[in-house]
Amino acid sequence: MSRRPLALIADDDADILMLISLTLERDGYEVVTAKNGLAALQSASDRVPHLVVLDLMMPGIDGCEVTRRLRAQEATREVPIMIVTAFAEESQAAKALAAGADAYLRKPFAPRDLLAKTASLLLERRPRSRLATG
Amino acid sequence: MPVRPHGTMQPIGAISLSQDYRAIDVQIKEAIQHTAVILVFALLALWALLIPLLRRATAQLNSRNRLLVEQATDLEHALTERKEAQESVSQLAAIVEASDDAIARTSHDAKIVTWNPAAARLFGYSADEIVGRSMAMLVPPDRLHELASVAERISGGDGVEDHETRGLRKDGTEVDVSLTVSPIFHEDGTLTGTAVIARDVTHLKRQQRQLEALLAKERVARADAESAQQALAEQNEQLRELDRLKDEFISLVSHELRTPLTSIHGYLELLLEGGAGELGAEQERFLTVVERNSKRLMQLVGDLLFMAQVEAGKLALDLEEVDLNEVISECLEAAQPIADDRQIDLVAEVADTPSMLGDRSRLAQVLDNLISNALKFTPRSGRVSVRVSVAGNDAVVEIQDTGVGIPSDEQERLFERFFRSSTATEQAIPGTGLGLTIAKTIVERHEGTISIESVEGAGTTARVRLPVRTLSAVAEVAA
Repeated sequence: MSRRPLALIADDDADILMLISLTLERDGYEVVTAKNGLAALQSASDRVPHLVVLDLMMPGIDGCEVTRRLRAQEATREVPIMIVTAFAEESQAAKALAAGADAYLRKPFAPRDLLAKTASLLLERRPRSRLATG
Repeated sequence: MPVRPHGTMQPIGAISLSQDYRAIDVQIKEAIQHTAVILVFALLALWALLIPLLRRATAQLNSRNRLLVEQATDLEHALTERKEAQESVSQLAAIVEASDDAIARTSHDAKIVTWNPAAARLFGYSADEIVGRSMAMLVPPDRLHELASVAERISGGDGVEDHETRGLRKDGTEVDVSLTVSPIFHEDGTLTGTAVIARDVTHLKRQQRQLEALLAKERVARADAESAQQALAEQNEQLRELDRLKDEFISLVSHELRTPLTSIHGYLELLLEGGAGELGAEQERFLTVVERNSKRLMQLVGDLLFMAQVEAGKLALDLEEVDLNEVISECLEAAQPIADDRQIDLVAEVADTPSMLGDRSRLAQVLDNLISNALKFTPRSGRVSVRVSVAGNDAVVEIQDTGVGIPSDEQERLFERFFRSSTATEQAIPGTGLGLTIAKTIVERHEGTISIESVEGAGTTARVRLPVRTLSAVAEVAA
């Protein structure tokens, strides 16, 4: 078993999927990818990741719905989740956070922006129970 | 008693002088007494006879006198009444004479009996010409049937009032008249004729026609307005549809443009960081050009989306306590490589500003824009200074450059969307013309102001004033 943290990445855009994968791999993550929401849920139940990066707009089950389902499962209730979206509207960010995501990243983003966010997510991760009551 | 001399006395009977005077006295006294009594009686009788006679005569005189007085009073009354009657008749006559309405009296067989001056004016006939002629002369041939129906009403004891018709003038022209015809009855109830009043309503008719024309015009105008309104509503509907399409388009641009841009930019960064092996100098130089342009493209997309959000009313500020100095130093740090590249002296003069409520990333966007402008328009070896000060309740940020300045006639257009100064276009300095519009929007959303002073050839100063609001102060206002 690798000691590297496991990152689950889901995006229907293959280029973005590879970009995020490459970036996180270079930062020391072990990466699993999914091309849609259902595949992401399947992957997460197979192996609980340390970090989840989800595209908001995906065919079928979108990033928000995946987040809600992950939060509903005991194993993934506390996993840090970041939602990536091309939407500029604040309402989309609010939607993602309301669904249970911990962070929100707008496209276009630079790989280093992504790393900064993921790093802070893992470092400053607060227990979900505290968020829920606070 | 005095005694009268003898010589004057007549002997009475057989009395002698020698006899006793007393006897004579007695006789005389008696005679006097008798005479007096007789006289008294006579007088009384006369009185008794005369008094009733006198009374009767007086009574007769008195009653005759009263009769005379009464007759005189009656006469006086009659005279007064007659005078009054004459006066009212002459007054009526004066009214008829002076009337603006044509007034005529006709006999029972519709012959004209009287004709006032207004009638003469209206119909053109003098009284001499028309009196004795038939009313039919004054009626246009095609309206003679009206005359018959009026005559019928009159013979039935009715009249006509304000009947609008046309009259025939002496010169053959017609005139609009309002006709009132009333029957005139004799004391015994027989019909003696009619009183005819004709009023010239040409002017009234003309006004009426004008009014009708105006009303018709108004109806047309109203119909026009209604159709215009409908067209406007349709246009509005189309505009709403366009607006919806625009929103859809923006959403599309947002997603479909930003995703490939993320890829381009992300892979470039990986390449430049040696993620795919060491780059040759030439390769690195070319990729740097690609990266610069991809950044410009991202900036453009970002600016356009920002404006679209503002227009859609979807720009929401993410308010938090912001340390302005911290934001400024981050912006300066980000701008330093460009300043270095152009050998521009980028300096900051910060003051102790209290932390304030604001949208950190939006405020950074404002300062990035202003500093980037200052650097773009300042020649090599120039100087750009960023000063922070506190003035009253405001934090003031000034970005001053020693650049080319802005022509004075262009200064007031700086904040217009897509406006680019002639300097920018002439020197091919890149930009969208949205930077200052965006900066102004953000500053104003923070209830601040932004202004730009520039002297052509000497430099430009951009000044941002932001009210230092704290969370508690805002909460107070909201409450």
